[in-house]
Amino acid sequence: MSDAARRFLRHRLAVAGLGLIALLILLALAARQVAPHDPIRQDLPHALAGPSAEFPLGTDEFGRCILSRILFGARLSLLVGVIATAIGATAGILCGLAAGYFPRLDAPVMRAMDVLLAFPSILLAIAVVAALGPSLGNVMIAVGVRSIPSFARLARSMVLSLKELEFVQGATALGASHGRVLFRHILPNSVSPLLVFSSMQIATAILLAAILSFLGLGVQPPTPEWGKMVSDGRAYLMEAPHVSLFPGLAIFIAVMGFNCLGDGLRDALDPRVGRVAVE
Amino acid sequence: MTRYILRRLLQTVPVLLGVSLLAFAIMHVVPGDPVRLIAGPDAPESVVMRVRAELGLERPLYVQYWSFLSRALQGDLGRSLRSRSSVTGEIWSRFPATLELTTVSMAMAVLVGIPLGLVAAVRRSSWLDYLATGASLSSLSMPIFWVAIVSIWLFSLQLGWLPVSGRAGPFWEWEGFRHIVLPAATLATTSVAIISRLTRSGMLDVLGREYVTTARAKGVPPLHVVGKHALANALIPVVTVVGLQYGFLLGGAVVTETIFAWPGVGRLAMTAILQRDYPVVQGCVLLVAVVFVLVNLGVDILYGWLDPRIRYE
Repeated sequence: MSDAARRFLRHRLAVAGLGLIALLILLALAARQVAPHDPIRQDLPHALAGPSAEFPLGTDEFGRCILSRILFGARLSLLVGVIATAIGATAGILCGLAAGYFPRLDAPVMRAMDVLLAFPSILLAIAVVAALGPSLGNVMIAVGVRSIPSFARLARSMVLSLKELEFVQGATALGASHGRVLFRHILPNSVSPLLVFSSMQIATAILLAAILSFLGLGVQPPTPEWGKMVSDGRAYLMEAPHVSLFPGLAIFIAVMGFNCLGDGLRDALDPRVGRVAVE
Repeated sequence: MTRYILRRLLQTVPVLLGVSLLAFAIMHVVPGDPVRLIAGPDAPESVVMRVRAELGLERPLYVQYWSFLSRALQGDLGRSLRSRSSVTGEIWSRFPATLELTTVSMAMAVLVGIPLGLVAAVRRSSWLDYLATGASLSSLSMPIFWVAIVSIWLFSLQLGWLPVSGRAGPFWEWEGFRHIVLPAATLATTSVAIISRLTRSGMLDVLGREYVTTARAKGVPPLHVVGKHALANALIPVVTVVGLQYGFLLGGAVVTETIFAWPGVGRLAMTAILQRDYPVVQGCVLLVAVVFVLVNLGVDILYGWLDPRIRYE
């Protein structure tokens, strides 16, 4: 077993995080088999019912089973978290590689990143969705755009430290093309910190996507989405607090899982990447 | 120091220009024709033409941007499409409420976050440390809107201690204070976690340094070692994060103000977004981003003053 794997397994919180995420993915994939009810079917006589044997987490204002909606909602939240992070990572890493490797591009690219960083992330995401219109795809883009500058900064710093090393200089001296140096020599050696940062970004992306849905800018009804479920339950807070409580708890558990995993991966793979420092 | 400040000021100019460009772009990346959105899908062509002319949208883009920028520099952000009143006026009438909310929230975050991180570091690996670390990790993972809803349910609906929403005067008056506690505490959740984590790691780093060991060896009382020798140095990076968090609170205020019906810029922005009132959206985005950039500039200058090594980098 490698040193990194051993360090990771010693990190109890990280293992717990990994376990949580694995369980969530499993439940999301098997939602159709595991969910006790149809997540969209309305059952008005059972509206706002509390937790019971038939509805383990109760029902919402349309009598829909909250547990089933949470299980189906997990698919969406995990998908948005991963795809939005992938969008941000791809664009950010490409910008960072270009800025770090080609000195002429450094100033313009990084100043553009500074402009994106000048917007608080929630506001930037809201502004992007407001401009593009509310939909699942636009939420992914909005959440992804927000993480581009952080990925770019990290990738750029990796290029700057790696391009002076002998193996990169050697490849350049042997006539390797810029693309080959960047994608065959520099990028593979930057994977660890980028992976650590990505796992933390998934947590932030899930949170942000939930905020957008909560504000009515995300997935539209009747699709089950955790943030929207919390929002819908607000009107019934007095008589049925479980309608908002349980979906919020699901977001908390998923985000906690990725945060713990990120902490563990950081300690195991790359202790230099500080969460606060990069964000 | 003067050269450092001048350099930082100059670096801010292109960022502010970029920010204005992005704010300007909001109106122009809307799918479809924004004029049709504003005038309504069934509006006659004459109305559409009039709205287009009113917004100046028939001119080339660079002319529109220049006009937007020069008017913004003079404090004119246009008129709201809904209320027809001045956007600058609408924003300024709500800005004090947002400033009050974010400032009280930041004060809460500092007052809770720093002692929490300090205790966790001084009592490392004790139950207190695990409790503080666990609490901060949990706070980082909680959606802010859920914290708001749970606290409304608990403190307002169940216990009846605090009002559900709204603002009732400045926070130094009793009713004003009761109204601001829940939204400010909700908004502070993430900042408490970040500040306490950073204080803890900074303290652990400083407590292992030789000058702290020397102070202890000389018989300096433990409270003095922690408070005077260690904390002062550990807090330098915390200052930066406090500044950055202040900016993030301005963004987070959009959610908190919407839930607690707090009459600030965040709620104005959210209402404008839902009503597609683009000039107001532009104005709010521009204001928050400019304040964010200026706060960062202030933090950088303060940081350079606190830690002279930064100025020479």
